[in-house]
Amino acid sequence: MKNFIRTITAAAVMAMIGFVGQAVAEVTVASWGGAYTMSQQKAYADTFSNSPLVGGKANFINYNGGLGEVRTQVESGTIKWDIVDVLPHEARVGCDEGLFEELPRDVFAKAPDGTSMDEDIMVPVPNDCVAPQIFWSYMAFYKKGTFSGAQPSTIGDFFDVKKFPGKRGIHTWANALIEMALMADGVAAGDVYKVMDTKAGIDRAFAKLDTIKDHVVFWSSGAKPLEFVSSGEASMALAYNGRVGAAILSEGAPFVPVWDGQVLEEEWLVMVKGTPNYDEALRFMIHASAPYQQAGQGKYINYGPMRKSALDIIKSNEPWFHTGVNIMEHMPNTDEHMKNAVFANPAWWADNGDSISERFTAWMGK
Amino acid sequence: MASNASTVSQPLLTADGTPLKVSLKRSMRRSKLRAIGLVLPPLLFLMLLFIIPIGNLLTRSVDDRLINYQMPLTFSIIEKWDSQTLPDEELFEAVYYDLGTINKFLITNNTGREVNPDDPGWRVIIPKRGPYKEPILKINPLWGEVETWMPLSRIVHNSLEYEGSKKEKRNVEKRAQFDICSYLTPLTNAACSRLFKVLKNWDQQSLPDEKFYKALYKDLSSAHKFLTGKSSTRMNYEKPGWKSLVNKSRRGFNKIKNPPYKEAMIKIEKRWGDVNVWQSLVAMKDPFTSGYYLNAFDRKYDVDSNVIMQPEERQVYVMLWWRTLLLSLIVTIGCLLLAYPTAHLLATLPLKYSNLLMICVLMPFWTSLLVRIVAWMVMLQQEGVINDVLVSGGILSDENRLPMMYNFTGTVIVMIQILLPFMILPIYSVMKGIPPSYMRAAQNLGATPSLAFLKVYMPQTLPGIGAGVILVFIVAIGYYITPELVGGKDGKLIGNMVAYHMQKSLNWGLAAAMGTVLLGAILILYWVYDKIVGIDNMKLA
Amino acid sequence: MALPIYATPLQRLWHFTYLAICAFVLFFLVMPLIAVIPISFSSSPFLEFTPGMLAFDPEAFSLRWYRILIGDCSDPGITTVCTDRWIIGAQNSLFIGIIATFLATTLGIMASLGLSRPHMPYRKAIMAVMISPLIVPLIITASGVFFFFAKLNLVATYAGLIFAHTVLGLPFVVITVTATLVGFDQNLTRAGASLGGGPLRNFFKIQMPLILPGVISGALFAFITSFDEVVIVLFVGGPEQVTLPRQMWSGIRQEISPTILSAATILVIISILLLTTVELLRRRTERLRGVTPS
Repeated sequence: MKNFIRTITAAAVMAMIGFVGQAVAEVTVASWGGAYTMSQQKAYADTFSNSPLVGGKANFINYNGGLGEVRTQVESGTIKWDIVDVLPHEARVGCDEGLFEELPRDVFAKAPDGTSMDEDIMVPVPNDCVAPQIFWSYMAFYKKGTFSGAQPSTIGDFFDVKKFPGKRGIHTWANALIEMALMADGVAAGDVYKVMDTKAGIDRAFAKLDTIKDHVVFWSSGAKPLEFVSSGEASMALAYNGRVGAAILSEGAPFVPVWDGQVLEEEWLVMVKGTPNYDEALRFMIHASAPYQQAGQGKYINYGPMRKSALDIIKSNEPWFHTGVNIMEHMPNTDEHMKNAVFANPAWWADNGDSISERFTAWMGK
Repeated sequence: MASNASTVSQPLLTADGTPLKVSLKRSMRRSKLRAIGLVLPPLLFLMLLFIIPIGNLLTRSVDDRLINYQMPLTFSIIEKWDSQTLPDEELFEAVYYDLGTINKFLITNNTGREVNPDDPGWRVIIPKRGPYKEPILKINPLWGEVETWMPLSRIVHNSLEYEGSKKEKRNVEKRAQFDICSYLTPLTNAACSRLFKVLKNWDQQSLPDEKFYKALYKDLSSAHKFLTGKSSTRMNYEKPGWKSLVNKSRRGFNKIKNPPYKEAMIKIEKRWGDVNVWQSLVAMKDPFTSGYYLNAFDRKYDVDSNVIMQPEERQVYVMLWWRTLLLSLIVTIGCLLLAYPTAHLLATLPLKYSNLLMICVLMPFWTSLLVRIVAWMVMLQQEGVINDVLVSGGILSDENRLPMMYNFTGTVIVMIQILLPFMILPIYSVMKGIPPSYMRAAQNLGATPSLAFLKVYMPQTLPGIGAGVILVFIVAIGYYITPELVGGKDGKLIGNMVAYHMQKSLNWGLAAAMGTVLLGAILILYWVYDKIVGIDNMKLA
Repeated sequence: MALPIYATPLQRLWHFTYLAICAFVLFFLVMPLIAVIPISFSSSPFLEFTPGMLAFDPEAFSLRWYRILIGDCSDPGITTVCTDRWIIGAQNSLFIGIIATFLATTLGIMASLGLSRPHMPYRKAIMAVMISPLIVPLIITASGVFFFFAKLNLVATYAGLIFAHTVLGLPFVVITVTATLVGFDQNLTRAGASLGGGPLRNFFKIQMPLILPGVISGALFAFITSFDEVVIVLFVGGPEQVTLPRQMWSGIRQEISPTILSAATILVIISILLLTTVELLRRRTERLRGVTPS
């Protein structure tokens, strides 16, 4: 018995030391999982390790968003992630609070015409911590054949349950819904945030949301709205454009996107402050934000590259998608699809996100 | 006689000659010590890894020191303000110095109250391009002495002595840069790389020269930037809009060259002219606050420290508390109603049948929680098994499938199934101990079966009911996983809000306050449970 | 349990309602777990009985989700990252679970032995502390442990998770072992001691065999708790500490596919086997003891 216990203890201790002491030699990237991370894996990680010039290794792991984990990693000094794929709000807050490394800007690859990276990005670059990833959007969609006669074509139609009857699938948080409600209520895309700055504007958005309240089914995981619409549980739903695109492109689902009134969000890469793999991580970020790699992601998913030059690369090489489809028709940030759309304003959401979230939670529970 | 008396008063002796009393006492003490020796390691383990962490979490619910590091000068004079009209130049000036410059860092322990606003050191502005030494010494002459620099130098040299691979060495040095900053500031995420560089080559004797002060200024500037970022997040909880106000102002402050600051600041950001903005500052001035608790109940302090309600559109937590309570009650009652007959059946059936049925009760108990949740998703969703059965059975039309998932109903159903064994088992074990002869006796004595049940059987099962009810209620009230996955629009509970503020909004004070209230409620129930059942009698299947 | 023949119609009605409720409850407890099994063999990516399955069309059934589960990524139809994470998760869960159970059992036995000694001071208070991890909501424990472990550099380490899971498992061992010790005759150890056995030898030769049932069931509870735990893993675990529940969690949150159901099926089957084994073992001991199930 004694020997047995001794053996077990020794084995346990050794196993523990072995596991704890394992050094991180590769770049760890925390991202969102799903088809999105698969596209990152193919476009960035695979090319990163295959290229004889760069030759590094990047591993993707999933996380659920938010800065909580990054904050403790940095403040405790036990850095486990090197790079994080973050939303616009987190990109700003994290950089302000010193959770991310500030990166030298001149090391990043210029566009083919010589424009610097920061100039090449389609939105103003918020700070020196970020490297570009993609634009994704919240947009409405429906299944072919759901409605007879006129088909929905504007965000106003999404909020019009008389003209287009049936349930509406929407997400359980407020982002993009406020903007969409206002656009549906007739606010011009350019004025949305001006209206949202007033309390009356927010009331107006919630009043518009009230009109569909009784017809709403909520989703919180990105695959759900597709199931809703596909099964007929909802006649229209809001979804991440990439999910809808993937269903259309890979599975041939008969979905029709409504680009009007879409709300585009930024997605950035940032490096966690104090990471022991600074050099490798920076190399990966340079690699992943170069125009050709940015465009390469478009082969696997229809999220729009942030760099203009990457869009140009795709345009001049169509059909670009790996199955031989013209991907530009499915990208959110082409001129065509941007006619009546807004880029979400992270500064506004940084100020008002918490209070809107409380109000939205109360609204959902009513 | 005398000898007799002496033997009586003689204490009893043990074999080795010590008095029995002493010996017994000693052996008792030894036994006690042994018992303590056995209990101590697990107790210390729990203390260190459970009790202390939880206590530590709870202190966060009152800790508001961060903002006091940021605004010491402002908070030291804000009480003089009448809080009704726009403040005058002095307060504007204080905010300008607190948000725009780094000088407060250079004075140690500057949390709130200890600040003397008349000290001219607070109003020294260090020119961006130097010289640095002279103004820094004006702020705090201690920086002119070698001793002040020694602790920093020690951090640097300790890290330089580290032996190891190149990469490890680099990491240790990097850590040292963080350590310098956290020695000087309340921040743990700023790296004082410039100080590290100059201190590396310092002989620890010669008086520091200009480049030391330049490094100090530059490093503290970037640390100050991060602190401002953090405290603007804090300020934004108080009143939406602070985040952008602080960030925009910081950039604009650089352009202000001379007083008066009031007009200049309002010119940069017109919100500085709004009394409401200033009033929201007052609520943050105490380093230890009960504000997070008020917030957890949709209340807050107004400018005169009266408790008032949050604006209507932000009121959500009271509703969530009620919902949590209601849901826990429904789940508890539901469990009780379902568990009582089942436990009775199990207790009265012959053992070979009841064992088989017991497996049905225990199987979900032994199956992963997440598996059970997924299983319920399959059952309850709109295209799920139950709806399919109802539709194909003609009870429902295809358009009117019942929404049973991602809402309150779904959460209740799933939680009842998950917690049901917790109710069945204690009731079962009590019922098992009631001899069936009692019921027969009662009926022999003329009671109808229902009367016999109500008067004889039921009262004897009360301890089991009590145990089950409290156990289920305690578990239900703090539930997180199930509501998070199946709660949808109106099935989220307080536990989910705690997680949201822990992970997403980073409002850790509010999360801790809600956690404390939840914990308090549970401890009271735990105490009641102890009174009814006794924690010693807690049994597991 | 049959009704006496003289029962009134009302009593009959009552009796059948009662039986119906019981049947419903047992059905309610087990049915969802059973329903999962067929869908895990579905060939469609949705979590529902497809028309093909209901018609027993062999085309509608496949093992594709099981293949993904074991890390076989040759399926052309998958749209998500396919990795060996499920396998790694299972390994991690076992590893963490076993060590945490070992620690919890050791500490738990010590605590129970101490608490059962007649001269233990502050018995009640200490017992309350020992059981408290069971009572405190996991979300609070996870938050507290997360901040504290961050200071000790235990976040995102196996050691951190193991310690946290030990804390959660400890109360189970304490409860079950103390319960078996209630009936323990202290004279037996004294007899052992008088025969010249040292304390350790006495413990393993005399006490251990007698409290073994309590130890085993406590250890089983501790293991199941660790094996099933996700909140602490979400807060304290790092990228390497992918456990089975964590993998299921992110599956449910992000990309619900029948892969989760195939994992669930395997877990359900394991728990059925485990329960049956325990039940059979119990019957065997009873038979050996000469107690026949009445």
